[in-house]
Parts: sequence; C-alpha cells; structure tokens
Amino acid sequence: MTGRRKKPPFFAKRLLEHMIDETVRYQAMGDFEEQFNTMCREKGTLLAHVMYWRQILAVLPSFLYSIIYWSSVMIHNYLKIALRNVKRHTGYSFINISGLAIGMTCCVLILLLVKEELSFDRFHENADDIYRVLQDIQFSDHTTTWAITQGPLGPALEDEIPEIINSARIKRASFRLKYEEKYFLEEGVLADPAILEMYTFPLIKGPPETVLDEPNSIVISERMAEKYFGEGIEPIGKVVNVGTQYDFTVTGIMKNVPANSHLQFDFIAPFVFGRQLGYTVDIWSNSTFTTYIQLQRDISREDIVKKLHGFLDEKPTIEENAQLNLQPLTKIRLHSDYEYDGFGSNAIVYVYILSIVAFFILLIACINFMNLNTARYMNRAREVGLRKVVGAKRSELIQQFFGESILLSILALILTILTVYIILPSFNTFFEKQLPFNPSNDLQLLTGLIIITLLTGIISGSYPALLLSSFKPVSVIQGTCGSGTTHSHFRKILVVFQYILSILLIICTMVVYKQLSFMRDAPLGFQKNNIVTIPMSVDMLPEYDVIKEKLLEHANITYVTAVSNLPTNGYSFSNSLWDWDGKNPDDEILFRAVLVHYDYFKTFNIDIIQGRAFSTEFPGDINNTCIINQTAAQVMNMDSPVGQRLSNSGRNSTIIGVVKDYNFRSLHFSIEPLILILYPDELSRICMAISPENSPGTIRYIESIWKDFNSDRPFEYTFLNEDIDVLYTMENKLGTLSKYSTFLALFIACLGLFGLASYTAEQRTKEVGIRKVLGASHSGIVLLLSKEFLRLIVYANFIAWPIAYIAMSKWLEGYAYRTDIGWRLFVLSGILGIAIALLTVSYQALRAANSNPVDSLRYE
Amino acid sequence: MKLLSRIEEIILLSIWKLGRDAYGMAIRDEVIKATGVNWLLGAIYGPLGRLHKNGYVVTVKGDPTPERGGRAKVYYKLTKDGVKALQKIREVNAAIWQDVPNLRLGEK
Repeated sequence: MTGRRKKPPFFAKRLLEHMIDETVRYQAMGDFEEQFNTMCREKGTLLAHVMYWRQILAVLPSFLYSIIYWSSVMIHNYLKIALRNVKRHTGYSFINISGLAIGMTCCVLILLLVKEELSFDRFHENADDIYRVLQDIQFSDHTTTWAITQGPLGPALEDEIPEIINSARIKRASFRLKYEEKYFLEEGVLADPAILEMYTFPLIKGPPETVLDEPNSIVISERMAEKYFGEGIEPIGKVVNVGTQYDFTVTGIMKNVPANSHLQFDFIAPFVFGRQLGYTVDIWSNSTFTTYIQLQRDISREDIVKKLHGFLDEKPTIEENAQLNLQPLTKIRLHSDYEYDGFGSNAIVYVYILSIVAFFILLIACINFMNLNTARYMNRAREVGLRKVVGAKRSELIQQFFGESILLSILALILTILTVYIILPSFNTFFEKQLPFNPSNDLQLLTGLIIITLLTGIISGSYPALLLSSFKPVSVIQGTCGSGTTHSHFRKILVVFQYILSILLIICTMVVYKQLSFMRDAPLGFQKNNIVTIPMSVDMLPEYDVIKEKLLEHANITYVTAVSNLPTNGYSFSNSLWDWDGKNPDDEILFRAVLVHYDYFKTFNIDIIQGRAFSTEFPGDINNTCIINQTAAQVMNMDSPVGQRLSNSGRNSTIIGVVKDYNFRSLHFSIEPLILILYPDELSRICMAISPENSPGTIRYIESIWKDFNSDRPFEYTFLNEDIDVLYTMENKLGTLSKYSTFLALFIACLGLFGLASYTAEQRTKEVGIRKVLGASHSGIVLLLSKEFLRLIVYANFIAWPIAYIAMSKWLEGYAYRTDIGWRLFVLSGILGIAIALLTVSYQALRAANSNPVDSLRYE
Repeated sequence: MKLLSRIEEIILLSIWKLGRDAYGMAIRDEVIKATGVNWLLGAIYGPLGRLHKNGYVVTVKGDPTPERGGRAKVYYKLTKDGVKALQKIREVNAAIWQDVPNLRLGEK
C-alpha cells in the first residue's frame, strides 16, 4: 500500500504504554497498532481512533488490579522500615512527632474558629431564601448603608411584592423580668410571629403557629425556663412581670439559640408590643427595626432588588435618596459593614487572616521538621544507594520517603487530637466560644483533619524525598555525596523563611500593642478616669433631683449628671432633618445627638469654647436649646453659632454654646457633628465624678443610695475607663493572640536554627580542628561559625520589614486615630531577632570551638 | 493449584487451536467467535499477561512489520503447565456438569 501510514493517537498510546503490563507491552502495542491500521483501511480513520481509545477502558481493570496488588506489597515493606526507624531512634522521633503535633494543634484550633464563623446561620432550613433588608442612602456629603429599616416596611414588602412570601421585623429588647422572687435582666427580641416560620428555631412546647398571637405572650428559651421555673413546674401559662408595668403570659418554650446564629436572644415577644413602648412601628419617618424577608425558592436576589428600585419613593420616608437592598442571611455574620448594625459584623477579614496564619504555622512546623532532620537523613544515604542498586526506581524511593513522613504525620495526628481535647476548654474560655470538637461525628472536621495530616506529611517529606532519592549509588558508596554544601542553599533559605515569619510576628505584635496603648492613653477631650456610672431605672427617673442632691452630700463626689449615652458609647439618635438658617436645602447632613442633664460638661470636664452650658438659671433651656460641637459648627458654616436657630421636624431650638470637639465614639471613628440636648425624661445612666481616694467607700455610699430607690434590683456600677476598654476588646484579644503566636514562632524558628547550626558544626569539625591547630582563637572560631548565620538573619530582617510595614499600615487604616509605626520598632525587632539567633547558634559554635582537634583529625 | 478463570480457559484453548498463528489479534478473533462477545484487544491482554506470569504460555518472536509500527509479532505457545491447567479445568467442568440433565428454562 502506498500513501502515508496513519499514526495512532498520541496520548492514548502513551497512556496504554503506561497501563499495560511490562511483560506483554511489546506485543500488545504492536497488536494495537496493527489493529489500528487495519481499521483505518476497512472502517475509516475515525472509527480506528475511537477503537484505539476504547482499549484504554478495556485495559483499566487489569491495570487497577496490578496497582493495588503491588502497592500493598510495597507499602508493607515501607511501613516495616519506617516503623523500624521510628523505634530505633525513639528520642529523635518523639521530637519530630511533637514538633509536627504542635504545628498541627495550632492549625486545628485556628481552623475550628474559622469553621464556626463560616457556619453561621446555615442551620436554618430556609437559609438560602432569607435576606435582610438594607437601605442605601445618599446624603449630600456621603453615601452610606443602613442595616435598619422602617416599621411598616416589612408588611408593605410582603403585600406589594408577590415573590416575597414572608417577612419578619425584629428589634432587640432588654426586659427586666420578674417571676415570684426571681428578678433578672434578660436579652431578647421583639419579633413578628413569622420569625418562627421563616427561621428554624424549634419550639419544645407550644404550637408555633399561634404562640405569639396574643399581644402579651412571650416565648422563652430553655435556659430561661430553667432559671425561673426550675424542675417540675410547668412554665406555660404562667404570668411574668416585665419592667414592673407589663404582664406577659408564657406561651411557649424554645430550644436555646445555637452559638452560630447571628440572632441571639433568650425570649421572643410579639413585635406589636413595641407600640406600647413607644416604638415607631407604624410610621415611615424613622428607621430603627431590622427587617428580614423570605423569597420564593429559586427566585434570584438580583431580580428582586431590581424590582425594589424606587420602592421607597412613594413612601413618606424622611431620607430623600434611599434605595432598598437585600443581604443574604448567610453573609450577615461576616460581611456586614453597615451602620446601625446590631447583629452583623465584618469579621470576614479576620477569617482570612486566621486561615493564613493557620497555614503559616503548619508551614513553619514542616520546615522545622525538615531542618531538624537534615543531618539524620544523610545517614540513610547508604540505604538509598543499596535500594537503587537492587533496582528501585526514583519514584519508588520518593514514595517510600513520603510514606515515612506521612506515617509520622499520622502519629502526630493522634497526639494532636489528644492535645486538642485537653486544650479546648481553655481555648474556648479565652475566645468566649463553645467550639465543639467531635471528629467521630463531624464529617467536615474529619475531612479537615485528614487533609491537614496529608498536607503536613507531604510538605515536610518533600525535601527529604526529593533529596535522598536523587543520590547516585556510586557516590553514596564512595562516600562523596551529601557533603553539605551542595544542598545547603535550600536549608538556608528555609531558616531565613522561618526567621522572616518570626520577625514579622514580632513587629506586628509590637505595633498592635503600640496602637492599643495609644488608644488607651489618647486624650479623648473629656475625663475618663474617676468617673462612676450607674444605670437609672424607671423608678429612679422621677426622683433624679433628690438622688443627685443626696449623692452630692458625699465629700468625694464632686459632680453628678445623667446621660442617654456615655461618651464613647455613641449617641442617642441621629438623622439629617436638622435645619438652620443658611442651610442649603439640598444638603442632607447627618448629625449625631446625645441627650444630657445639667452639669454634663462639668462632670466630664469638657470645655465650652463659645457660649455657655445648660444651666438651671435658665429654665427655658429645657426643650428650647442645644449645644453643638466644633465640627457641627464647621459643617453648618457658622462662625458664631451662639444664638442661632437649629430646628428639627418643626421644633425650634436656639444654640447656646459650642463645645470643644471630643471623641464620643471609639477611636475607630473620626469626630462627627454632634448636638447635645437637655432632655431629662429619657436619660438612662447617672454619671458621677469622684475623687480618687477611698473609692470603695464612695461606691458603698452610692450603693446605699441606690438601695433606697431600687427595692429589688441588684446594684451595678462601672468605671468609665473600664467601659472604654471594652470598646477595644477585639484589639486586646488580637494583642494577646499576637503575643503567643510570636513566642511560638520564635521558639520553632530557634529550633530550626539550632538544627541547622548543629549540622553545619558537625560538617565542619575537621575544618575547625585544623584551624585550632594552626592557632585560631576561641572567639575567632565562634565568630567564624556564627558569621554565616548572622548574615542570614540580617537578610531575613530586611525582607520582613517592608512586608510588616505594609501589612500594619493597612491594618491601622481601620482606625481614624492611629499611632505612627516608627523606625524604633524595626530596629528593636531586628536587635531582638539577632540576639536570639546568636544565642541559639553560639551554643553549637562554642561546642565546636571547645572540641579537641585531636578527636576530629584522628581519622583521615 | 488455582483454577483457570473462564476467560483464561478460553484464551488458552484458542492459543492451542490456532497453533502457530497464535498472536494477539488472532486470539481475540477466536475468543469473539467462541463467546459471541466483542472483546476489546486491551481486555484480552490483561488475562494474557497473567497467564504469561504464571508460566502457562511462552512467547516466540516473529519478524518486524511496518504495520505494527516497526514491532515484531509475538506468538504464544502453551507450556506443559498450561496444558496441565487446561486438563484440570476440563475435569472440573466434566465433574460439575455430570449429573445435570438437559437444562430447560423453568425447570428446577
């Protein structure tokens, strides 16, 4: 036959070559090709190709069978050798396994945190159909998104949009509940009954459809039922007293809300009860409720958002440019970066950081493993050479060494699981969580553990596997390989990497602590020390003047005032309805407002720079006046605001004073325009400036006054600076976490350096011996051996500094008030790193310097 | 001694029947003729390889041809062990089928 002979498909041919057993490969490939050519002639090229590919399927069963058979034989052998090695060097193996276990434990603990964060709210059956309604609002100077909405919005959405099949409005509420003698403050929600339909909050007792129908019904959690009613008493039907004025009937008991729900509450009261509390349930001019909706299954969120465009335009809302948006339920916990968000948080950043940290810790543990074992691996060169001589392929050797490291990882896994069980309780307490750890029940967790183990085994085994399997049998038997200099580059890079990580952590910890102390000590514009605050109950409010007089009788109490919100605890309300002469009518500017009592400025030592404070000498101060801060005056373009008009929703006030800007929120935020109003009827805390001596005595006095006006409520008080610290709990925790991570990383890095140093010292014993004989001094030897490592550490520093600078600057951007990073930090961390490294290396260097040249040069 | 599997038995018998022409593709054709099932070439080589490993067949190399990409045909021959294995399986078959009357559908 003339003409080009066709060739069988390339990839299929390669595959078949690999899959067919060696003994028949030659003839089989020949047959395949002959058949291919025959088919090309008889049935056409296409069918020939198809037939060729089909051979792969046919060969597959035998191929898999032989793989399994031979693998089990080899695995048996590898396992035997690996276990023998572990048993022979128990000490070393123990150090190895522990090192890996430390890394794996940290990794597992961190990933438990991440796992919990990611699993929030997924337990609801309708989780994928539930959304929270947001408002995107455009003011003249900025746009923002509010997580709260108007009262009538929920029902309106359900009525007007057919795809919205359910809606529920929720507002957090704190009830002072009383049953017989038991009297506690409970945290719960006011919610539409639909909350039980939309969400999966199972009820232990009570029919979910009707349990919240009555306006004075209340559903309590298991926890509450136990607290108030104990064993054997049926809570359903009992009447509890709320806030001394209202009586509620217990109509249902629900299971405790799980920890991974963004909605946390111990009771549900009907939403409509809010009317009695004066909430703006029915009007459109105030946004203060969280609205959740449930869409029909398989309706896309984008379609509905498009439909909702302009929904608020015909409604009588205050904000002119407000559009509705929908946030999926599962995103609320981690991706909420909105204003007025009582439930969501922006923790996704921390999830990413934590995951990266976990991976890095694992990486460090593996690198450490590799460094520690470098010297010992060289001793197995002979074994490798022998195996190669009797016919082992490089891939088989690689398999063997990976198998060994995976075996060690599995042993480390056992140790890890034990350690996690032991450490978990304290870990949970520190992070205030209840993370479960049940590998036998939790498939996700089990998979994660297996992946971590495999990852550890593979990463830590990669270097030895690749290195050892590359030995040439001849050089092994001659004894010329493994001289150390050939692969020392890689080892040095490993150590440098470990040190870079450690120095990064040192710098980050220092920056975090610097920022923390900056925030703690920063002048806030008001006095935060020696201020005691107590809550003002409904009973105390009418007697306030009497209470104030009595408090002032004590020598150590200098000033007394009352507030709706403590400075740094935010503001009472805010809106953009304020109007003044000269206001641009198109402007929508947001002002914060705080309600106060007389002597507010004296108590907190805030300067009034124009005009005057509220004073009893001017009875018209109540309801007709306000005081603004400098930023407000700036925003309103007023040079002398005193005497000017400022009104809100038709009510006029006169500005009587301007106060110096002070930080009435945490230092995350810059100072916003603030209006202070004298409004005695809605204040909730009494604040007292006391002198520092004998504060326990002062507190006791305050308590006695408290008891006079509060028959059954327990006394509670706080110091303002403690309250301020609470604002920064997250940062505090971050600082502690950083500190411990740094210690751990440094420890492991030093271990790695120690291993490397001992190996190098061993390699160079002959050199050191010769130098000593030729007259080198002690210190000369030490310097010689350490010089190399010092250079490495300096490199590590130079690489770590820019990374740390960029990362920390990014973090600090989240604070309107931040410290500068400063060059001193870097120098300090550098010195610290070098000192620690020096200490580690010097031990080996000294030992080498002290060695007797006779011993090292004896055999040549 | 392990019994031959069905396909191994069929392959060995085909090799015997083909005599000097017993190479991969010819064996496959015989098997297809006997069973009626369109065996793929690759599926033949699995059992064939095992037979070779166990020593029931040996190979004889032929001449290279361009049709086979330059490779030679490899012919298979039964060994003594192979013949013994066939005899054994024949005995087993006979023993098993001995007292079984004409098998008809629906009868027990």
